[in-house]
Amino acid sequence: MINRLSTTYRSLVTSGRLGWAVESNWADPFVFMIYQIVRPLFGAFILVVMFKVVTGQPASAPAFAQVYVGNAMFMLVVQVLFGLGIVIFEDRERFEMLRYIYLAPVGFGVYLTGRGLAKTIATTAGVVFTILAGWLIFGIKYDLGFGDIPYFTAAMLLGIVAILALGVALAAVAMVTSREGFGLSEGVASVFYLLSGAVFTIDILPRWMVSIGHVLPFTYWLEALRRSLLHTPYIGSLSHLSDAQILLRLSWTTAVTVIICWALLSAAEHYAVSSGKLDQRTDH
Amino acid sequence: MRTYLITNLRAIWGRAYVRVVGANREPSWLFFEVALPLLASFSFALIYRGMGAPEQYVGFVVVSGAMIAFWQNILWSMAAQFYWEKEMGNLELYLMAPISRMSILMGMAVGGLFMTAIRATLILLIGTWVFGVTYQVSSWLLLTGVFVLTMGAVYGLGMLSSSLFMLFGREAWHTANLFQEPVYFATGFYFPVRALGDLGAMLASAIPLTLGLDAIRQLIFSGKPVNPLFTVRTEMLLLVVATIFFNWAALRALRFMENLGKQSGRLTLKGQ
Repeated sequence: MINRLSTTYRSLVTSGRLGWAVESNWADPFVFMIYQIVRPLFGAFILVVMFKVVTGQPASAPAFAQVYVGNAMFMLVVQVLFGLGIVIFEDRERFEMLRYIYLAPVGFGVYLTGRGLAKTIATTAGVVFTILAGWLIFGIKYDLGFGDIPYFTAAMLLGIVAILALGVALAAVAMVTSREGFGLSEGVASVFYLLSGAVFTIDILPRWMVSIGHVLPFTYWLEALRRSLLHTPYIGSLSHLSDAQILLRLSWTTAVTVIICWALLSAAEHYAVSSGKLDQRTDH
Repeated sequence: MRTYLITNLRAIWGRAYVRVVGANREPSWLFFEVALPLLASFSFALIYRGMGAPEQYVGFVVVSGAMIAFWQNILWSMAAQFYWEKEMGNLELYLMAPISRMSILMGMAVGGLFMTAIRATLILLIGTWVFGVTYQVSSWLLLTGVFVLTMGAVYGLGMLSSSLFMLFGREAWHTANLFQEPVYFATGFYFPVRALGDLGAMLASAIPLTLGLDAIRQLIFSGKPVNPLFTVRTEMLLLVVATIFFNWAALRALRFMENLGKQSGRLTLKGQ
């Protein structure tokens, strides 16, 4: 058991290091960080201008802080899903090494999780910078005390587990699709952007969509992060839940997501091998 | 001269053909490239609804959703395409062939336009239906003219960018990413570009999409306040200038970068 855990750990670290090298070693760290920061920052600028144009209020208005935090944090979902979605296409069709990963005693789940961790670390810089820009440039007032840090950390870690699980599942889907499936990750991220209340409260959506939102881990993840950073509930239909209840719901929705995604990975891997898609080329 | 022209026309058709046939063989792209990006537009429309914005702002988002399809096509399937072609080993074949580099890029553009036009039309139709957006077109002729000029200028910009991507290594992926949100912001995809201030808007108008979007909004939301940058006729004139300039600059830049690539040995360098 210990031997197996040790092997898994080594595989995870190695694939993480590989992911980091593929992601970042084409540039010096400063240039690489600029690339990581610019996209989320401009995403935030778009929201700031939209809010200002419509309401005439400055970005420091409390109503906007919730939107800003949700958008900044959600960048992790977008970037990790997008990054993991492309891993399979790159490994399969560009580097032509997917077959060797299949042959190695690593396991796709561990390999993809490691690659996703590298992407998570790279994206975190952009998220942190965007959150800080909210405070320094737009005057958004955060209220994160020392007492909130354990809650914030627990929510953050659970959210990252859910994001990685979903990223692995999308990479698994990529194993059995052509390069046209390239847009799937960003599209799925858009679905969650819509249903988890990243930039507007899900209560304005039709009832059936709200119900879906209530079983997604990202809804509780964003709510927990907002509560720890701003100390006010955002989604009206969750306002009756205490902070602990939000964390509990985040935990079980994450657990269910991990189980479903792992099952999807096993099924996709089996189908890709049995139908000869593991090594297909679809770039045109 | 005639042979050269025919060879280039055949090159355009040949490069476009691959894309059109590829799209027909794999119809799943319709789901990935229409249904899913549509949701991103929905989110922005719902933000405006949540803020209680005037209805034309929701219309801005729907129209922008369609225009983003063209920008993404230019960015990923044309500008960055030379980088992928280099990685696949096709770039050297293009360079050896007795054709203009512009023909290959035009082939990509024509082939990509087929898929992108379908994607943009569906986004426009579905978005309009879901959010009940109403349009009041003041002149269909001008609208068509603005659209054609915008595409001419933006695809010229795409060709110009492709000369850079020809020499890029792995930064190509990150650079293409970099041209998404910053461009959506600068061109005013989701808000009237004048919101950036007079100076900001003037600088942003260097990107032809800014002028095209602004003119399209004036023409299809006629009678509603859209806070325009210039008059439609001025924007059309600027788009004509932009079309000529970007296509001319692309021709020069492709030659220059190809020579630079040959001198530095980067044209066939893969996996960097």
